[in-house]
Amino acid sequence: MNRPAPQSLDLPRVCITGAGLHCGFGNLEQTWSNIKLGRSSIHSIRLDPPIDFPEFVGAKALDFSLDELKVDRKLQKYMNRASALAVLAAGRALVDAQLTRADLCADMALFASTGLIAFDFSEVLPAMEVSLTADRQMDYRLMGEQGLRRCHPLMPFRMLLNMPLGLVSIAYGIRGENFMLYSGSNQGGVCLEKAFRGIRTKRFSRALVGGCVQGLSLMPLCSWSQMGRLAKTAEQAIPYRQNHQGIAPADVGAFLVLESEDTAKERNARVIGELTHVSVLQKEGSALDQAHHLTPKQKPDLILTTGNQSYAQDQIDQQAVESAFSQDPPLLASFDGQLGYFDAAAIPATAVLASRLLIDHQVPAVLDLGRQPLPLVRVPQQILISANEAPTGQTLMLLESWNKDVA
Amino acid sequence: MRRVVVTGIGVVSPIGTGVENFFNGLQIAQPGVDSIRSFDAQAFPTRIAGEVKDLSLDAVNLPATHRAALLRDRKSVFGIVAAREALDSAFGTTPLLRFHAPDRRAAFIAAGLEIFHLQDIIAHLHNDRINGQDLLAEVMHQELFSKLQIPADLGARCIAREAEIGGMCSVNLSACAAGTQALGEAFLSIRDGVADMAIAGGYDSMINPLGVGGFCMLEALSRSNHLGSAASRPFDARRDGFVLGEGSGMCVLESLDLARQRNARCLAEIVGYGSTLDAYRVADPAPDHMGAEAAMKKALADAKISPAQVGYISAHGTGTRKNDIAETQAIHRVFGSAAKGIPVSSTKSQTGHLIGAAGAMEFLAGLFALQKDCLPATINLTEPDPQCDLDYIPKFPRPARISYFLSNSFGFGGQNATIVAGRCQL
Repeated sequence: MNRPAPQSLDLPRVCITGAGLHCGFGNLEQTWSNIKLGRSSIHSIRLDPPIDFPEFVGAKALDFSLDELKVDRKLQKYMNRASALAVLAAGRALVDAQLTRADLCADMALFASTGLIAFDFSEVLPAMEVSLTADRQMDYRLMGEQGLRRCHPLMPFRMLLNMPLGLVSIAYGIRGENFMLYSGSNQGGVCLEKAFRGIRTKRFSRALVGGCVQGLSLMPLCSWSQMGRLAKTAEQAIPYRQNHQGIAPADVGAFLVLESEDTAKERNARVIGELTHVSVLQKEGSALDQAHHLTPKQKPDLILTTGNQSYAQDQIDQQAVESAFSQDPPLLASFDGQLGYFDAAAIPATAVLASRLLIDHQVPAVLDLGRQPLPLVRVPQQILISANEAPTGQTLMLLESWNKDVA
Repeated sequence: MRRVVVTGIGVVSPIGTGVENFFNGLQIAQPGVDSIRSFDAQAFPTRIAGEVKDLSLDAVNLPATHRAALLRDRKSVFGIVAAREALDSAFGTTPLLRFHAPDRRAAFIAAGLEIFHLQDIIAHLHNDRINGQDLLAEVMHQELFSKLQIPADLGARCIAREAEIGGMCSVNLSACAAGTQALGEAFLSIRDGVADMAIAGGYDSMINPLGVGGFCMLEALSRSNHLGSAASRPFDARRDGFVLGEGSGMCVLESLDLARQRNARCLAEIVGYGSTLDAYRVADPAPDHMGAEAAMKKALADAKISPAQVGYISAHGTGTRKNDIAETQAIHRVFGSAAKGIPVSSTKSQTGHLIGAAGAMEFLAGLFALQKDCLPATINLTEPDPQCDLDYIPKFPRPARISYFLSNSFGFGGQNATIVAGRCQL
């Protein structure tokens, strides 16, 4: 288990002061309202031309415009869909945290993760067509002589996988420590662990951390299919049901603003919650196996999981919960069945929704695993987020309620 | 805070595969750039690159489950080969379990872009549309990832598996800054107590039609094809862009205490790391150079050494007009009047720009300086640019004994990273 920095009395507390999301239901408020009503954003999807792909189930992000955040239109031209989702969600998180550009000093860090490439083939098809010989082989001489000129000039930027981070930085003036990670839910966990540790060790006092994924594109879909991981129906994509088999890929952008307690206090920030534990491992089994290492005070009221691809995996989670919390095991649930699977953004997105739950104090309908309203037993004070990334990635994260404004 | 040392290194480069060959290549100022051979680039505006020449991918022992996919993705194989050399040089044949529990081992690996092969799509391209149904049917009959798309982290996953990593595994895609960031994050994770050992570095190859074509479209690459091996000329007045390279650099990092316990050979100590963003433009460095300057200052402050203690700077030095000037001016601002007295060089003059692996490769150039008491050269620097007025060690390496070096990486999107390392003070 990752051991955090040695405990000492002056380790800063890590506050969540902002959250931003865009997914199948739209922004965080829209998504939260729909979740509480037990709705699902997973449905049949056909890819847009020029690709004819078999129908599948997934969750496409609701249409959006970056004009909402007054993002420079010239900058928008550099963005593919994943980058645009990142810029949107990051901007919303900053607005939620009530941070202006003037507040964003060099001390603000930025960590993000993104998923399998979602290449827009319409960008290269013109070049490919002109580069074919009579017997339909690629002729790279033709590509060099004619093909490159037929590509959109900004195509290279839309291919670079670190562009979401660079574009968020440019859009909002963020200049601090940073990295861009790739693929799989565990990378979202690594981003959050880094932000958490960085604040606790006082390397920086504030971080914007999250992920973006464009899951509904030819190449990720072929990869998921090849791995046998796509659910065939929306029902099959719901975790903790006996017919759970597969995931429903989705589009998403999700970001959190984390600050040290002192930094939040200085500006009278509204604190949504507190991050008190993050650990990331490469092990088989369930991330919830790590829960044995939590202290007695860190017993969660609720466990939110993400990334399970089958009922068999769900059962491993349930066994781990029973083992770690034999007395009064917490409720185990997942948003994957209503929102789809968010891959590299899964953990930030689940954390965004969990932070909403901490201040809403209402248990969404999905959490009964049967879409019936569930009487609130107690207000969740501690939410454990667990992510399993096949075959061995595990992340465990604890969010706790912050009962009062910091000021 | 715990101290962090380098106990193993491995490399695959255009100037030699294996640390001995790579160091020898630096020592003799060997150029690694030549005409592109891996595909027919004759009609491309840029037809030169730094290709790996002395590694037969077919001869590499690769995991059976992913062999077909790995052979379609050179960079992953480079990473695996370099990582194996680093692990062997650190631990020999002794099982890692003797030294570090799996959950105390981490991997921080920088990777390049995903590869997909246009030929895979051609057969399904009709009348301006891709027949995704047929393509999927074909993909489903292939070995995993051996058609269409090879994930950029396939090599990293294989490396993590071979090193039996049970702790954090991070795959960094920050383009030109990725390699230095991977090393820096590995350093921090050990210093902070999250890990005891890490395999860290990067691998990349963009020497393929989409990679070369894409950078040609940005007009970022040198078009001095007639110069061949002399085309990569950072800081030279006639430079006209960078030249792509490929390869991998990998390091094993451990806490000093644990390295001492097992009498490990300590090649260097990493003492500081700084990372910033320009928040300016996608492809151009910020005119105020504040991002690059801040990264260097942060790294030096983190290292708790003064600028005067830096004996060598392994520059980002791409050979583009803007970057070389920006980096020069940033170095002036960090080091002040001492700047002109600090030797600076760019090994991209020999290897080309390895993008995701560049930072790791250039860190190894700094290790060469420490190990061999010899500073790598900026070969091909024959006519200095008046706006680049530092001591760039032109043409030939220079004997010198240094205590600390600093290595810079500044990437697309405005990501900046600097790492500081020095001799092990036991």
